[in-house]
Amino acid sequence: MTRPHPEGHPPATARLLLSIALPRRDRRYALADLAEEFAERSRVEGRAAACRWYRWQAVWSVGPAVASRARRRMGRVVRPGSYRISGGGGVGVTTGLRNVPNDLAYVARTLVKAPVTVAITVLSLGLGIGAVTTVFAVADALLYPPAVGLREPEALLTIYRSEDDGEAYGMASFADYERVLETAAVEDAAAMALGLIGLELGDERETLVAERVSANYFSVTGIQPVLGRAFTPGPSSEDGGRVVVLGHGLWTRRFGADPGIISRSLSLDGMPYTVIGIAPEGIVSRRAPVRPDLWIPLEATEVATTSREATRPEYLILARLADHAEGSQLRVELDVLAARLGDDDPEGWMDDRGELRRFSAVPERESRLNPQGRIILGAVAAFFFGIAGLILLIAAANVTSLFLVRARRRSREIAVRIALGASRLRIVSLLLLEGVLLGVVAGIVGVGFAAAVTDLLAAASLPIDIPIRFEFEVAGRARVVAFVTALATGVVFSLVPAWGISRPDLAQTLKGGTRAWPKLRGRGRLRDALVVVQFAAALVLIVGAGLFTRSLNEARSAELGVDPDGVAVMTKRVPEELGADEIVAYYREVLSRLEGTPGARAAALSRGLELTLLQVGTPVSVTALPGDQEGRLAYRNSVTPGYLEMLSIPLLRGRSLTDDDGPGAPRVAVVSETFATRWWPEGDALGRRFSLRDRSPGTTEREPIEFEVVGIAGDAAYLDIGDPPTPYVWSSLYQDAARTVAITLAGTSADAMATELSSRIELDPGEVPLVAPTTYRSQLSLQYVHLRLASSVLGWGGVFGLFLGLIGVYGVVSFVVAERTREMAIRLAIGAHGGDLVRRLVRYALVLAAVGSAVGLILVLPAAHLLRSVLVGVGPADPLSLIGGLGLLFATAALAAFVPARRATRIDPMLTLREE
Amino acid sequence: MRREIERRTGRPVSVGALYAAIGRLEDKGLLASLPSEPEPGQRGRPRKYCHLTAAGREATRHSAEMLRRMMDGVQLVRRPSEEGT
Repeated sequence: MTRPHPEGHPPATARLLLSIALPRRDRRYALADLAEEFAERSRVEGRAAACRWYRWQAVWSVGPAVASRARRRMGRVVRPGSYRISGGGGVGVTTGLRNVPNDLAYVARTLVKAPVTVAITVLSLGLGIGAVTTVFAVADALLYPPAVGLREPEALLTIYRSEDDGEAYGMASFADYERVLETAAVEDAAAMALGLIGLELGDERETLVAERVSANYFSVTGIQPVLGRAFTPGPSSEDGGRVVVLGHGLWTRRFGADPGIISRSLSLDGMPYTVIGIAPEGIVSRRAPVRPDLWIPLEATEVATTSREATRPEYLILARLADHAEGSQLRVELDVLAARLGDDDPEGWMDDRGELRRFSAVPERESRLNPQGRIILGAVAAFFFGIAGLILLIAAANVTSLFLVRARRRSREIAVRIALGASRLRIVSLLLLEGVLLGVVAGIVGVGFAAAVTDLLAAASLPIDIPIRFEFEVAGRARVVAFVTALATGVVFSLVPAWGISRPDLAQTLKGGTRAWPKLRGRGRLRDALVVVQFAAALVLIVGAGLFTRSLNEARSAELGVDPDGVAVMTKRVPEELGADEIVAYYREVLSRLEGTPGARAAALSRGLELTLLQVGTPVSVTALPGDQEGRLAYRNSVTPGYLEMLSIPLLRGRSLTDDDGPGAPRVAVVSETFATRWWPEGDALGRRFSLRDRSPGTTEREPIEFEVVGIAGDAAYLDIGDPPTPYVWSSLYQDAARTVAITLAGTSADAMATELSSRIELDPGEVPLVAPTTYRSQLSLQYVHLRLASSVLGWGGVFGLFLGLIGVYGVVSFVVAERTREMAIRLAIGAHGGDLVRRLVRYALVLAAVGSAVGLILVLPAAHLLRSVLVGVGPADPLSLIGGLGLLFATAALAAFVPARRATRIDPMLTLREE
Repeated sequence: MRREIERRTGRPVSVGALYAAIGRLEDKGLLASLPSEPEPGQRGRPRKYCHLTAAGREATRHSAEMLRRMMDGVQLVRRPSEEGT
């Protein structure tokens, strides 16, 4: 190494690139040249400029250097003195690229003659590329949503407030928003909240995703409506009234893109709103990766401005920096603001860990998705990328071995070409062209496949009445990914065989001896390795599918802790106009409407419903009295009397909730056994007191409430199937007064009860229920949607992998049989037994399968370990899944070897030997 | 050498392209090179000194002549169009 210059070393990567690319004879001179000039440049222009220059040199040297090496290696060296002064021709570019159109035609002709090979290649690679492209397109759409129509997006920052548990990227309150507006670094800021709203069109009702935004939302973002106008900013404007900007999607889907919709009135949540504009296509909410159906001004819903609601943390703030202000300045001002808010109201500004809340400002580009959600989505995307990658790997390995065999068959043709003077470069470029052509076709198939799958995914609605619509597109970056993958696999599967084929032993090959293949053992090993790769990847997929299928079964048959049989459920909103003291009377009235339902045995109301997505238990912070300092997490449901009995939740001791536990009575609760033993490890929990603080988002009661334990109920995982038992509290709904309740009706048949619910419970005008009348079981099944998805994706991947593995082994064994025909003929002629032969070949395939499974096991165990939190009731090293996967693999290998081996025993020794 | 080309053509030249060109000329026998080992001292580095062979000189002369003749033609073609405008 040269001694270090005072100006520092050239960039290491660029230097490495150069030393790899440059031909050996020039390497040290060229590098020394560059080092000298680099030193000079860093003295004169500074190190950064010198590094830039050096990198430029590296990048632009690779092409000529590689071309020069290739020219020399391919034996196209022009001999000294061959420069002919008079001729002018003869020393042109000799890389063979000039013949591309001819070569393309030739390659296309040869491929047409091998339709089976082409079909297998294009289909299997197409599927692999399609899988990768699909995952990419979906992940790209979710992780990097486009931001449409923003004006000067560099000046936009999203402001988050830390949550109760200290998590940095939570929502801010409307009060916070008003304070942020006053900071000097902010020119203007918009507040946004995401919610559902019911649209009524004639007899039809539909739940829509609405973004409630401050009236200046469009002016802050710079988004221009494609039709009509945006909200007029300013607190006392006319738009404080009920106006709506429709999303492009809703406009085209519901109203046929009719421009006459402007100024028409729509009924939203039973209120008339005037349509004033249509937003441009493709705007994604920053709260969740969904496209809102419409925007309404915050002022229209009157919730933000009342003092009680102003502290609810449900707003995202998008701020535009004032001229000349930097993000860092805004961050400093936000820190000051947070400190001041903490001084004003230390109690309210403290989170559950006793620390003061803080704000964070994240640039627009990095906050299109919540930074927290991004990490989770990223992990999910990585999981699916893994699966897609394995499928592509299997497909590519398969095609490569297919092409190895094909190359073997063509060795004589190629030997003739070389003997006639074709250069190796030319042969390799022909084979390469073949690979690239097939790769491109497979890429097109893959993009088509991906487009079909993403359409399916986008059309598949979640089995819940929340209208989340995704739009995925296989365009732009996804297509680039597809074609780069296609080209790369094309190059690999054509180059691997091309390397060996272009230097055959000419004399041997032309004589026709089957032993002419150069380095036969080496080639054979490569083929074996490819089969091993396929088996390993297939094993990972099959075992994964096994684990998730077993989880699904476990989840379905798990002890639920509740009895969902015969139970139907729906949600109902308490009418807005009822005051807090009228709510209990309303509950009783709803229950009385269900009384005497034929076939019904019980009816109840509750805040949530155990084991469903319906407000899956409300998180509460519990402190045992007296003396327990620290609040600990538990979950609560508020229910009417009879609810526990209806769901067969066993009462172990004490009493259940009764009608007497009404609004004025002392607060009482039934707790789960885990709850009882966790807070009162010694002694009986009955009669003990605890205080509870609601931690659910959007709660307004932050004051602790005191309860007395009156009953202890049986343990179960009440939140999530397959979890350990949850500390759980049931309190009286009559003492809680929730604004949205679940109505449950139990009888002989859940379907009949659902019908009864829809006829007996009338929805208010404009009300769209979160859950329309349905069975409890259908809501339960939502709990394992992810398991079903994972098991089916992995299952199909595994079947595909195994099938390709089958073809792979079949191909390899057939090839071995063909190659050793003479040897086998001799063996058979001198009395070898056919069964022996079959056994030998099957054993060969089983050895490959064994090596493949060993590799696969090394991969699958850590991967399964990572997934253990998602699995239900099975460990990552579940013996049944592992043994099942291995069994399937070995059976496939044996079968794939057996068929061609049997064929080998039917060789007629006389015929074969005479042929030679 | 590279800097001289850059100065005359007015565009950057990569070291890889230069050495590839030198290599090509060497292969054709138009150029011969003499590697030298680094001299001791602060700026010592391996260098390669190139010189034209007899064939190289001939080829250069030939190229220059060709170029001159080409340029003659270009001027003849351009003149009428200049008058036209």
